[in-house]
Amino acid sequence: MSGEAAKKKPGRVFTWEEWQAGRAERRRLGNLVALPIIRRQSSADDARLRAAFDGERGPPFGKAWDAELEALEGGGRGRKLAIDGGCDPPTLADLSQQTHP
Amino acid sequence: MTTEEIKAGLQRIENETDTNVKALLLAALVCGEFRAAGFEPVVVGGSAIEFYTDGAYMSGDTDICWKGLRIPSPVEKAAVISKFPEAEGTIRTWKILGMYVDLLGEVTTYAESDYTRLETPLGFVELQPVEDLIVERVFSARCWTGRNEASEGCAKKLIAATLRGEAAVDWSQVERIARLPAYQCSAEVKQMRDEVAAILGQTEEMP
Repeated sequence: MSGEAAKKKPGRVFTWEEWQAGRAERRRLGNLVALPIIRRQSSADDARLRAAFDGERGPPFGKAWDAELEALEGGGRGRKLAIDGGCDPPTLADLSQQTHP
Repeated sequence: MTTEEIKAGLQRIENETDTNVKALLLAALVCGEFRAAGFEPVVVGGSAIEFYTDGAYMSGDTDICWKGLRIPSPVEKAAVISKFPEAEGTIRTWKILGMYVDLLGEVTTYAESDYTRLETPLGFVELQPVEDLIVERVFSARCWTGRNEASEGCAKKLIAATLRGEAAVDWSQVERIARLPAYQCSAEVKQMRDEVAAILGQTEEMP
């Protein structure tokens, strides 16, 4: 975790400053092991999300400190390096949520 | 919060450009109002993963479930959400400032670990334990009908964050949850953890 505010190992409580200080490092680590953008391409909520976000499943990520991501978003909102696997299978959480009112 | 305080909070959110921060602050504002009404909201699923990893995963909605004894009825949800000017929605899904908040049912958790508390200038949110999320995503990635790359990426990013100490995790809990009949993916979790550890140049073994 970068920054003075967050040098201690995180517990189960993050202050705002700790969370902010660790963002770039968490993202860097994640990008070492998976594609930068992993937004799902579809789900049960596809229709309303795409209707609301100009054909995408969400707004641009807008992470100003991440030039790479910004460039990717600019070139088609992340499609270049995003997962492109068609309709994803539901997770257990998806399934349990479908049973809720 | 008073209506004026909520309006000020919404103004702050509207001024943010980072989707993750916007979603987190909005979740904090919404969760705070539900807590004030006696409920215990928890941010779950992909939204929680995004807050843990900053992994460019989140879609345009934030999923909120409930722990504790009380789950808000549709009337109670509407009563709380009506405090947010110009909010619109249905029983489950509400649109506030162009972002969606999904108010779901009881939280599903197998972890004995604490929820993660994330404090923001607009109140705090509680996140589904990372142990649940890791197992859930590994299961979705490698135990479903085929390999699911989005879940694969989520799980790997979560594991990377925990292996490098960026998020607290109890690996004995992960292992226990993975062995449960609900998932039965202990081998897959260990395999993915080893893969991520190898990429990161680490050699820790699963407990």
